[in-house]
Amino acid sequence: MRTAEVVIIGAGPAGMAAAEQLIDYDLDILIIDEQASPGGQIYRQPPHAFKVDNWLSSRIYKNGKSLLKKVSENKKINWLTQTTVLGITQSDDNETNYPHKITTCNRKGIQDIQTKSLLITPGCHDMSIVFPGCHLPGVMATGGIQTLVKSQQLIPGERFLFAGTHPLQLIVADQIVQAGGEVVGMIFAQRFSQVFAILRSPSVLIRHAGKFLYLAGVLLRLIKAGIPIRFSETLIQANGKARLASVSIGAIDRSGDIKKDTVREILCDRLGICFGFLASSELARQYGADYSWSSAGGGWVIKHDEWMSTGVAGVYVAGEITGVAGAEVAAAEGRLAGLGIAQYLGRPGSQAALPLFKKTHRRLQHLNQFANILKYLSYPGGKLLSQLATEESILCKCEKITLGEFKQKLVEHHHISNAGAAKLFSRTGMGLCQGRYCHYYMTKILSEHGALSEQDIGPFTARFPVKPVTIKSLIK
Amino acid sequence: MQKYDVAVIGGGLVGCASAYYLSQSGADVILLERGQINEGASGRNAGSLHFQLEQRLVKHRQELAEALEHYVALTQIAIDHWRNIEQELNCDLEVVMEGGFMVAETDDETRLLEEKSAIEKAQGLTVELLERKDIHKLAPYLSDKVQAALFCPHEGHCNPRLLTPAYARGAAANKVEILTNKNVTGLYKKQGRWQIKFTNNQINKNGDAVIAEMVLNAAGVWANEVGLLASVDLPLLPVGLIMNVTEKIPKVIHHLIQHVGRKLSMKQVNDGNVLIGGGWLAKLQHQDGKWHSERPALIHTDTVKENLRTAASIVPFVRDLHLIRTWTGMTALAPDQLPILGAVDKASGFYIAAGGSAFTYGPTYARLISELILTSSTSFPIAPYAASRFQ
Amino acid sequence: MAIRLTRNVERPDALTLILNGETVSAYAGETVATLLFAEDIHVFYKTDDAQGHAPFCNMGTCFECLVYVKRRHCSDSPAWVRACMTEVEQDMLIETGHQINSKHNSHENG
Repeated sequence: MRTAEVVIIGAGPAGMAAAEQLIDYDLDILIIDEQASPGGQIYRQPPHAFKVDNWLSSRIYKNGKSLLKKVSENKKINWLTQTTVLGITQSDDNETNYPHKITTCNRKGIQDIQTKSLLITPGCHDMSIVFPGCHLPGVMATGGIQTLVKSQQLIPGERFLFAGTHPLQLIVADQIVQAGGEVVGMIFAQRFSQVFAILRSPSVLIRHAGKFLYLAGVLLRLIKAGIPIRFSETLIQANGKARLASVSIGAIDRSGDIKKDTVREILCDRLGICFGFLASSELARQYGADYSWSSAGGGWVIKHDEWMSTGVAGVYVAGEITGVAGAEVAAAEGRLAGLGIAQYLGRPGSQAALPLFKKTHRRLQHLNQFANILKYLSYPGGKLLSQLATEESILCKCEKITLGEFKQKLVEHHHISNAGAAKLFSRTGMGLCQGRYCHYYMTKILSEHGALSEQDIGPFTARFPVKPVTIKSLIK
Repeated sequence: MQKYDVAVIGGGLVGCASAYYLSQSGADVILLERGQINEGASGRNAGSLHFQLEQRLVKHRQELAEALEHYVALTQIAIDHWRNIEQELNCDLEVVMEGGFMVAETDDETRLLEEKSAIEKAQGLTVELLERKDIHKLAPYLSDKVQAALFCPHEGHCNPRLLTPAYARGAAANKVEILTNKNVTGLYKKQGRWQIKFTNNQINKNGDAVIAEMVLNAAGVWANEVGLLASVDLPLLPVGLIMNVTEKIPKVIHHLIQHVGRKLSMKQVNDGNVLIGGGWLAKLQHQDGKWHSERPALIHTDTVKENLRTAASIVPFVRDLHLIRTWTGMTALAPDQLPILGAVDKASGFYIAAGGSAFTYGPTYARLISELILTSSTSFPIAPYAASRFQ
Repeated sequence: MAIRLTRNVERPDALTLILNGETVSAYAGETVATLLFAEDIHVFYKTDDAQGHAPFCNMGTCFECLVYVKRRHCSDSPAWVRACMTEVEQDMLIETGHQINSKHNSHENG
């Protein structure tokens, strides 16, 4: 069986920063990623066969791109790309030096890899929102639209509308406009004054000036290009028969209620929903890592100590899986995890890294300040989410379960009080996405229903395989 | 302290069904469940209605000869029960009884089927030995490797997600007090009655207690732990099993598929998913050398692959389907693989119903144990399943 | 209709494949999802209630973009794959708009 001393799952900012930190310790490192090239979703590279000039030329991508280059060009690191991790189990022999067994799948088939330690950095995915028409072809995650533009060099539509609470929609709209596409509007649910209240704190503004200036620049470009940007408004419904044709938009009053008499319709063939992100914590949970709930920070996130170690010996986490906070926080955490792993494996010199460990923690503290601002600014809040979700809206796309059908189960079976039972009673979360896109709403509904905390309700049990796989590839 | 006629411990199939039958006859019942209704093996098993002797029982046919004959007789009762269960509970439980195959691939396995069918036929169970061309007519999706099969027209499946909840609804309608997230911590006999102490598992850990004339231990894999609270040592061993589920597909497999020589059980549920299992083991988690009942059993990926390989060799088209999930469940088995059903001699008023194919036979066990609790007699003899057989 | 960006982008020579019975061209490195968007396909697969499904996440997690694919230079039988995670190949056969897994029939024996 193939072995490694360190396996890094996920080649995004966290995984690459960890790898960079580990390079000097002369370890057998293997990085596994589902994409063809490293970078994660934020630095998702164009295909090898493409030649793209000025790829992600903005300043904010500069550090990330140089990290990407350094790690990619390092000859000591082994790569397993276009490879899906299906699950992690204990090695057969408990006494082995390689206690963790990672089951992977790619076009060549299934491969088990044993390792001494591992870092799980699977990142996050866009949060799915429940509203009438949310299941229509044409409704997409804004992050999904962005990766088509920056990696595949494709503008997937003619008239783009973005709606949500997260500023990513500004960046993606800007990228589309720069590339020559048409954006018909950007809809933010927050009040304009709410956004700018934050900027009244000069200390925050100065310390994170680079990021604010970048966002301000994007905003100005969009305004100059005449793209309507609206605040205190929200999508209400996606309309269309076989596919998206238009989106109904309504205003939100000062108390957070949607004003039904203000509804208007915007014609578009692509809606990017942009309400934030959820941590992809299922792989770590599948292997027994402990978790906690964060409503604004990504749902179920993985607990860790200051060296990014989970409770499971030799298993580390970094990046969005610990709480969605962006690429820079992810990279800082990846660095800490790298240091933690070097120490765990008892590499000579790892003790001397204490000053770097402390410095990285200070930097992390600084970065988290901005991340926290962004987190609370972008959090849609339960009131908005529950107003959008009508009884007829699809809660679970895979199993086609409406919110009304789900709530009916809770009426029939008032004793349901955890996620596992709710899944069993309703089939919500049993389909191909394995509950990734319905669990957030479901948790919120259950929590309200039973007056219980999200922690009491718990997540769906994460199972092998964490992504569906054809039986023929498993048994080959 | 609240007083009841019967306290049922366990909110699985046997517990909820017993609570239902007891309350149908007017008994005042409380049901205490440590987690959620239908959360254990009752909701996690694959819902097979298998009436032929299973592979694991066929293996021990010599030493179990007498018991097996009795078991096949019990099967007849269970079949009748399943035929009427949706009417009885007045709801759709996705009961499908279009028949099931026990397949054989080798001459030895075919001989085993012949021997098995003799036992079954002698007790009146309808089974028919089919050869390849007949099998192909009924089930063209089966591999040509299948040389013979024993067909039982009553077999099929029911949706385990629906059955126990239906009983729980029925019980609740009969005013059964159903309490979930309640961990039973003590069972004491006081002045001829049972005092049942329990704590809250969710929110706070507050304790409470109730009094009942009788206690039914229907705690499934936890039945041994519950028994020990009443100083009753039940020889039930926890077993972890895996189950695999594919994505939904249009209806292809109409039957229950089992294998006489290999561990395999397959079916396609009404929702369209194909379920694949058959008794492949998951690893129980231990702490301080003791089984840890709070932690789920763990899969071994080689076991998953072997289970799926077996399935694909018998029903080849499943190769192209996605495996969505492999889940594990825990069940309790007695050393002779048969149920433990009846009163417990040394603890009067304490009853047990656990072990032994408790999905297929669960409704029947529940009905029989309820009869015993209420009338001290049963409409079908259950003496062979008494806990005392192990003494 | 989706648009392939051309400014600042050099693509390799086009390859050809069969999409729903018609010959179309694409570029190595493109995903099946990109090709389908470029070919103005809006429904990737359907579920039994005829509801259409199309990409949501474009990162391999939502499984809304399944399509039926047969690779010519691959001995393996056809399969449902995630369009966003599968690169186009010369002579690949792609079918869209089918009810998921309706392609499995009961007589497929092997």
